Amino acid sequence: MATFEEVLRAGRDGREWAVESIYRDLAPAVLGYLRAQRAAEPEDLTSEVFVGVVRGLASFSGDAKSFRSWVFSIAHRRLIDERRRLARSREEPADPVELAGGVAGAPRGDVEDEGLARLGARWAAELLDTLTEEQRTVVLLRVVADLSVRQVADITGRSPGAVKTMQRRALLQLARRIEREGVSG
Amino acid sequence: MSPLDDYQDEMSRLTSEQIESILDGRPVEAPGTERLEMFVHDLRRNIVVDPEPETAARHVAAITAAARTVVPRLRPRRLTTKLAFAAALLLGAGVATAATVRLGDAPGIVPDDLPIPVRTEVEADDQVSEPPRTTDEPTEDVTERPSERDDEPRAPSARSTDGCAKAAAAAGAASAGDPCAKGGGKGEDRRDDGGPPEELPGPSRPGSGSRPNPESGGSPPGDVPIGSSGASGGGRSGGSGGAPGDVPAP
Repeated sequence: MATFEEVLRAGRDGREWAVESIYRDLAPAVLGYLRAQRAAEPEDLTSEVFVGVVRGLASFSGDAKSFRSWVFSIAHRRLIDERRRLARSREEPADPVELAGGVAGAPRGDVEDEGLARLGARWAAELLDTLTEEQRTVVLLRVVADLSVRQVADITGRSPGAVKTMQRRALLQLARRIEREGVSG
Repeated sequence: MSPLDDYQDEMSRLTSEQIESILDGRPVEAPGTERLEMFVHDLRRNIVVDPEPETAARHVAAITAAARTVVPRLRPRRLTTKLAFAAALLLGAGVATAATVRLGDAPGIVPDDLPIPVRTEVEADDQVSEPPRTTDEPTEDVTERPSERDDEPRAPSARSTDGCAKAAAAAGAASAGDPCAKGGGKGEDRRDDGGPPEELPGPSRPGSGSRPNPESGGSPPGDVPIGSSGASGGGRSGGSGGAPGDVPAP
């Protein structure tokens, strides 16, 4: 199996296997992040993100962790661009039901698993909707993108302390919502 | 207080480490965090999924097409960089060759006693840095020549204006009854040579052993013969050197 450096070098040379390897490795998380952020066209946006990644490979330097952070910084910027575009054209972002449908559309091989996944995705999406946009971004970058506090701070343009405060508030808000569901249900 | 308030109170007491553990998907030993852990687990498991095969194939095609368009743009830049590097190497090699050729010619042009100019510089430095002295002042400063021992015979200073007279007196005394003169040979030769004593580390100290000695007939700095370089001993020039008037002014 090729190392990250080998894949990166081959990707810079335009080798198809390397570019595809980068996509296969990171596309699920990028697509999940964009879906959970309720991007209007998450698949198209994912494609745009990876085209941007391939075009910028020559300028990248760093290890696998910083590469992951770099890819998500591109994804986050594309998302903001799309939101601005949508705000100008007044299109509606994706519905949580669509999010769950998109997730359930992925092959899992078991009807029961698919049902649970759909429910789980729906539940998670509804909970995410209770957060502010910034809190949601921080939680998704921490959980879905699997980035550190510092990397999230770099992507969102905030200090690490602000990110920590935001994630604490987000978890408190989620816990409150979950407890309310439990009490009412 | 309602159970909800209790729960919120417990949640607000979560430490930063516990919050990090929840977000990393690790179990936390704190009451009321199970559902949060479940949420994070669901988010990870159900949101991060492979794209559909048709979507993935479409994406890969678009990305590889982009990669093919990017690489040709990069190659000319790399070629230019390599050419520039090769040109720099050639230039460097040319400069090095030219320098080597000059150095190779040097033995034919420059005399073997190359340290002479260095010696002159040292002396010039001494003259500039040292304050003017009167003839009554001691002619040698111990601090100037730390390697010289006190019991060593000191060479007369080049700055003394009556040094030649003193030397002449000393020579007279030596020929009259100096035990060295009686012993013959070495002591007399030493005075005749006018150079520093053999014990002095002349060759190792360009500022001491190479200093011309006017009293003993050494030449002034400007007229230092090649054979009297610091490396070959200070007094080899013999007693036919410069006159007292050639001694540089203090």
